[in-house]
Parts: sequence; C-alpha cells; structure tokens
Amino acid sequence: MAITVKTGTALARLLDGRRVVETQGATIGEVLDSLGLRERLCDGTGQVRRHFNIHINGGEDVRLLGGLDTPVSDGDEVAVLSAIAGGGTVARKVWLTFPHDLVERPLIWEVGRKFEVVTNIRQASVSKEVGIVGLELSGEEDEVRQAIAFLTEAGVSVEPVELGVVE
Amino acid sequence: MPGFDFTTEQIERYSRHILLKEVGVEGQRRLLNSSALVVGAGGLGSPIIQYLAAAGVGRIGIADGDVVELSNLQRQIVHGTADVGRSKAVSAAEFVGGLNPDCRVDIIAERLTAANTREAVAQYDVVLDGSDNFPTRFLVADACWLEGVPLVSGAVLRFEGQLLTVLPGGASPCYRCYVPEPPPPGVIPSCREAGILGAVVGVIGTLQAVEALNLLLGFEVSLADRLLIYEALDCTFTKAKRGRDPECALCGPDRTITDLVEYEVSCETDAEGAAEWLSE
Repeated sequence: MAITVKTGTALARLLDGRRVVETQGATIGEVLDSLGLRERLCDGTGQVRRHFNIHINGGEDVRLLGGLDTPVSDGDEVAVLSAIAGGGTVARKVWLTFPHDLVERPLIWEVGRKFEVVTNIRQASVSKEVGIVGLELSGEEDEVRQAIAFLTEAGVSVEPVELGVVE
Repeated sequence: MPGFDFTTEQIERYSRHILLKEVGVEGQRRLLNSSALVVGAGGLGSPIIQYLAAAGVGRIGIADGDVVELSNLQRQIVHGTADVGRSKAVSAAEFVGGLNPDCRVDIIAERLTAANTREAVAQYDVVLDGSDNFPTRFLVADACWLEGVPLVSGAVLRFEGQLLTVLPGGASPCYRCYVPEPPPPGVIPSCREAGILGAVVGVIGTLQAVEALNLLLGFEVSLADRLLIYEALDCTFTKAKRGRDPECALCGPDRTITDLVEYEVSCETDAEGAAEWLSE
C-alpha cells in the first residue's frame, strides 16, 4: 500500500531533507517504522512525544484516535507536524566584574557546563585584583536568564552591555 | 441614523470597511470599541499591529521586553533602522501613533511571566500570540483559557507557518489539547539557528490579524478547531483537524492546571531525546 508522508520543515531533517516521501504500512506505527521514525518521534513509553502531531488526511491527531495503532489505507496522506514557536534563542551581552576572591574561579566554564548556553568572551581584562569580562551569552531565553542569575549569586557583578560596545 | 457619531475623517478613513455590508458602520464601530493584545512586536507582531491599527481597533496592547536589533529588520517591518537599540514595544507604539489617532496603545515593555500574564490578557477582547519561545506561548495560551479570552496563535520556522485559534468557554479545543507540553529546549530549532524567510512571517502575521478582525466583528472563525499549515516553498495551505483531548490537563474534566506554569527547562525524560536530536 502506498502511503504519502509529509513533514513540516522543522522535521524534514529526519527524512534527509525531504518533506514528502512515499512508503508502506497498515498502521501509523508501521508507517513510522518503515521510515525509521518511530524511535525519533516516540518517548521511552512508546508514545508519540507530546509536541508532535500526526494527522491522516487532515483528520484529528492520531493521539485522539488509535495512537500508533490507527489504521491507514492505500492513498492516505499522513502529516507529521511539530509545534513551532516564532523565534527562540536570545543573546545577551553583559559585563562581568569579578572581585579579587573570584578572579581565579573558572566561572565562565562553570556556566557553560551547568546551562545550555554558548559563552563567547568578547573583551577581557584580568588582573589579580579584579577581572572585567565582556561576555556574550546565547541560548534559550530561560537558560540565559538562569546563567546570569547563577553568576550574580556567585558574587559576580553582571551589567548589561550598552548595544554596540562589543559589536 | 447610524454612523452620525463618526467624524468626517473617520468615515473617509474607514470607507472601504464601511462599504463591506458584512462590516458597515456598526462593524466599524465595534472595531473602534474593541481591544487586542499583541504578544511580541517582532516578525509576526509587525503586520498584526499594522493591520489592527489601520483597521481602527480602538485599544492595542503591545507586549515585548526586547530591543530592536539590526538582524530583526529583515522581517520586523514595524521598526526602522533608526529604532535599533530601542524598545520594540515603544517603537511599535510610535508606528501606531503615526498611522491612526483612533488607536490607543498600551505599552508593555517587559517580559510576560506567570505573575503578570493573566492580568494582562484579561483586559482585552482578543489576544494574538506572535512570541518567539515556547515558555511564553504556554503562558499566554493558559492565561487566555483561564481568563476566557480568545487566542489567535501564529508561529513560523524557515519556510513554514502555523496558525490556530482557541475560543474560550469550551467552544473549541484549547492549545494544550493540540500541544500538551512544550518541546524540550534545543529539539525544535529556532529562527536564530534555522533562519526564516522574512515574508513568511508577514503571511502568518497578516492571517492572524484577519482572524482577530473576524473574531472582533463577530464572524464565525474556521480555525477554531483546525490548524492551518502554510508551506512557502510549494505555496500550499493545508488544514488539519484539532480535536478535544479528554485527558487535557488544562480543559479536560480531570484538569490539573488551574494557574500559570512557567517552563524553565524540560522534563528529564525528554532531555535524552533532545540530545539525540542535537547530535545529528
């Protein structure tokens, strides 16, 4: 049976960049298996992860029908969609001032380990007495916010950089 | 005599609306007496704000805590080059002021949080979500549902756009019926990582404005139980049905969400999945 599977652009990388493929199967589970998608789309309990939606011929999400056992027939069109948001990550540029008791602590490394942020040192001046670092933090907004909170709690003074300073 | 309270200038400004028999003087008066909250004055928010202001929606709330960056201007057409470094909410409010003196603007130049979102959405007739992250999307969707305010939610990525409407009071499935939980961070690439064709946000934002105007004018909206998917590369629009999830944590009979939930990071089970995706 020929089933057409369509994905949105957010998921096309699962199908080697193709957004439309033809495959076989009698159920949604079999269709996903035929494309090697089951493990990518399902969680440890075997259920489709909750931010994905699968529709047959524009009907209701299969989560509300028979799940992976929902039958498909020849000629059906299966859409595999993912929730998307408008944008996503942010970059914050901050001046960090390390007091002398923190100058030797590798805090920027710690931030990179603890939070899903990319740290990019744009300017730095470090002496035994004080360290001043112009740092760009990018990642999901919440991660960036938590990273800044962590630095502040550690005793670092964190000031936003006026736009253009480290540009 | 309907319309006698309009100024000559208003009759001229809104004449193309008034000519539509479905709108007319009464519909235009409704718009002037209505209010809308726009979450995000970015790519989606720009056309939303422009069309709602041009249409004479009497009060427009603009919520955005960010400042304009040069890389925004490829799609965020409510701002200009001279606005780089300025508050997006303030910049967009100035645009509205220049376009239509009938619109009052509420500037909310801060990030929406669990502490302020319910109060913010409750003051408007409709909310249009054009935010750029899932935590805000869930805050706004939950707040609209809890406060009984209709929501028009739009989202974009690369060449794809999605649009859906949620009506309050059980008139349609809620946002969580369709997306029960946000994806873990990193799983779905962002516009910053994956890019976005500027005009695609214009299409989706404009459709959000149309949907909101339909709601404010009292028309029936067809996206209340559908998801609209726009694929810019093939220029196709498709709709998929959204059903009510009987186990929905927000609107189901055994609901567990009764106040706002602020998502920080994902649950542990999905972190593995995120890592797997990222390793590609």
